[in-house]
Amino acid sequence: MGALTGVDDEPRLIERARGGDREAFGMLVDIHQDRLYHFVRRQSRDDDEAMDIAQEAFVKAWTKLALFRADSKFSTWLFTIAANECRSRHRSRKLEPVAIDDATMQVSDPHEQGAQATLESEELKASLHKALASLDSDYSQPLILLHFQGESYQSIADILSIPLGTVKTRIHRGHKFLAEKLRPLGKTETTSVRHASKGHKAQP
Amino acid sequence: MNETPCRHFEDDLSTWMFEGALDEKRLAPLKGHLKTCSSCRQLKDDYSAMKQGLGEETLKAPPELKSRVLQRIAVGSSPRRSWVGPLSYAAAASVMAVMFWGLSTGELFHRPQLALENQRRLGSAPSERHDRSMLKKDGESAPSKMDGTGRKGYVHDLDGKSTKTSELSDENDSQWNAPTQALQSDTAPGDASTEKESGEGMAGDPTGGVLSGDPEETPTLTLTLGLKFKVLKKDLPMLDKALKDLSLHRKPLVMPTDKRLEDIPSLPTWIPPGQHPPQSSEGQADLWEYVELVAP
Repeated sequence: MGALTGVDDEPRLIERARGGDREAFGMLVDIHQDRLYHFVRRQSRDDDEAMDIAQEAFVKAWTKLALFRADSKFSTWLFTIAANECRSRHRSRKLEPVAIDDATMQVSDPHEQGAQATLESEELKASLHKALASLDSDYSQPLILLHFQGESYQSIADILSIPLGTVKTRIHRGHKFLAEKLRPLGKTETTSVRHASKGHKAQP
Repeated sequence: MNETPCRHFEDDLSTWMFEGALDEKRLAPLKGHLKTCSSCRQLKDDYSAMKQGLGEETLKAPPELKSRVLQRIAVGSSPRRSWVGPLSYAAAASVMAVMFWGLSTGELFHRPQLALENQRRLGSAPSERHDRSMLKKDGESAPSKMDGTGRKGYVHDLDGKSTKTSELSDENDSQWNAPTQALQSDTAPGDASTEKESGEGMAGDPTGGVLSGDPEETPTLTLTLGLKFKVLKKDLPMLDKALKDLSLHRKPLVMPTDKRLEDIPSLPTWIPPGQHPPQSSEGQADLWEYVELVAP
């Protein structure tokens, strides 16, 4: 077994895995597991569900490896499988709403301004993640791929097998849905007031 | 979400805020709109706050993810050969036709082993798995069953024998199940004598029951790379001799953590050429070796 390989060696690893080489497939798992887990975790209720989905996605990739076309990116193909698996899970649990308002909303010592800011930031992130997980996967998946995976619009279109225009529409709609879910929690208002008090201009 | 009169501006706002750039021809009207629309100003503030929470370092996958994946694929089927692709439509049509026949007549449920028996009579029952195992990689032609390029022993499969077996036949369990030879039937259902014969033959031990009859009529199992099967421990010396001729090695087959030996009744059995299939009394798990063929 050679040293852990990078993406440069990916085509060779894929060919070996196609031939039944499980060790080579394990190296492919090494390369992609963090990003794939992140992708599914942001759509899952908890770590266990994310683990199940990520595991299932890799196993399906293994069994369907012969169907992978070498002229496309392996990561795109892999994420397509994961996205489908997430959608399937969401459908099976009827998109149970994820509670956004929870203990993370509690605020501690208000005199510790630095800690307070950090806490607010962490609370905001936690609320955002839960709001994302509560969105329909049609909207959450493009948002996650854009903001957390750094994928381009075209790449998102490839992964989700939808037209580029649909990607843009869903991202715009998704942003608004997120804002509407967070607004009642006062998360965005707090920041808005803070920004206003600091005289922020209307810049993106 | 309902359409709003501001939708066009909301989309532009989303682009401006999250992509950081917007064509000037669209930016100027948007800024003008923001001065008059409180709803869109609120949305802009929302987006400003959201931007702080979006984006983060990639989460690390739990260490056990890889080990679990490798554990599952160690006992799962190998990547499927792409050769099934072009044939998939025809195969699906055939399966549907047989399913329709089976459902309409009930034969699919009552006599799944019928075709196997009929094929045994004809001296040929190439299973789907058997055929797959004979395929070589990289488009190399498969060895003929009868040309001596592959070592053969006798095999019997008990697929379709029970509901339990069918339940195991999902995607990931396919390797543990024998092929659906009932689908290969070329004999009309209802042959009473065949039914009787097969009924006797299939009534044995579900963990390793046997088919009676002349071994010369028993389907053979070609020993090829990656094949998974069981063999009586007493036959291991003969198997090893056959493998030596083929430059193949055997390794113990790793069992799925959620399955026991008795849960996989339909794993093919290798029987040395010229020998009879094992009797039902030999169906105990400790008499069997479960192996997979690997390259030296």
